[in-house]
Amino acid sequence: MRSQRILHWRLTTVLLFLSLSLFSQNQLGFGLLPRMNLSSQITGQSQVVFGAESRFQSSNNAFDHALTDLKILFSQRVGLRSKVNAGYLIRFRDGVIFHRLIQQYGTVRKLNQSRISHRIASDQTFSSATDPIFRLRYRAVWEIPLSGDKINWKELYFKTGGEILGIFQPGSADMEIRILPAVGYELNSNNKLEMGLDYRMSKLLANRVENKLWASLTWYFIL
Amino acid sequence: MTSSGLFGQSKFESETRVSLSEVPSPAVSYMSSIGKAYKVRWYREESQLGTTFEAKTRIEDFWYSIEFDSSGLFLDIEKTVHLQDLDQDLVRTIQDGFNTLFRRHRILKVQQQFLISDTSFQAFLQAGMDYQHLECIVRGEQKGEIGNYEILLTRDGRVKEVLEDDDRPSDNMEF
Repeated sequence: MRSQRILHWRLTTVLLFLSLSLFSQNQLGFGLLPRMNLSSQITGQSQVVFGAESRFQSSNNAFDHALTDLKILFSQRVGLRSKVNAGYLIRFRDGVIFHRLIQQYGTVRKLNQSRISHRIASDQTFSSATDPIFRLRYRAVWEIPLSGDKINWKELYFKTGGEILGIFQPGSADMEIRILPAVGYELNSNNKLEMGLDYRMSKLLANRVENKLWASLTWYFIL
Repeated sequence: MTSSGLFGQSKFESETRVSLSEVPSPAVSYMSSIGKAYKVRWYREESQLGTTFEAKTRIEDFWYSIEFDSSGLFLDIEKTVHLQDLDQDLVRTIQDGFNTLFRRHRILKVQQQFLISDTSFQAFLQAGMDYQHLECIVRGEQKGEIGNYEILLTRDGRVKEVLEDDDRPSDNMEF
């Protein structure tokens, strides 16, 4: 139990240190990112997923609402470990509505103690304010229990991930990298809460890199 | 027995890492016979069968898991092996059995189970004893549902019992 407590403290310290050291840089934007993800089985092989996310950007010691996303995804199992997802997202930002079409292919693999997932995705965003945006993304996520060999109810786990995005607009191309460490708590088999960081380095090809750090809180719920 | 008759109840198992001081002394003494060179991780397991303690260690490229009852008395040894290290005829028998149980499947883990008398672990390693059962963790599709299963087999690869294993939702890994 003592070794578990030490591990928890070390993880929390690393997350805090990372957030403080990045926050201290002038060019860094900071914000809050609450999310919820509801999913429900349609058949043994398919499910529907509803997602909601808001962003609150830090400015002058306050958090201003930046945007809200609502999404729906239909997910179909295509292999023992793989799924294809397709869906639609609507974004409300500064009085402008954005429409996004999403396509994903993902696999989740169980390792000895942990799990690893890979996701390849593409999306297309349309709005009256900008040219269409086309993105191609790859994400890998690794999850490990913080006690025992597997995650049981009322136990903590650590999750970390990385994502790389290629972003294309008529006449321009760019790249973004995301790093996603989090600590999760499994309330029961249908409920998980995750608290972590979502660090984004964007405009990598434009030679004026933007850093954004979001403190994320995500609730995963299965109906 | 029909293939559907082999399916038993769902497996409930909760495993928590524990420190050496929380392990009953007979179990600690048993494991001390393997020497200090090997790191041993201890777990307390709660299941339908009650509370047990499990020591996990890696010796010469193999993972061993040694189980003790709640008072620390030795129960059995499990050794994780690779499917390709088993005899090819045995693998064929195992795969044939799984093909009748599942529409499609993938073997995730294979363990040899040694139900031996209270032999010291060092003596067990030196004697090269024969196992009594095989235990496979399988991801498979059965009646349109995909899940993880723990399957107990005889030493010649015939299926004895199938337990549905915990399959944690992976929504947080996918979306």
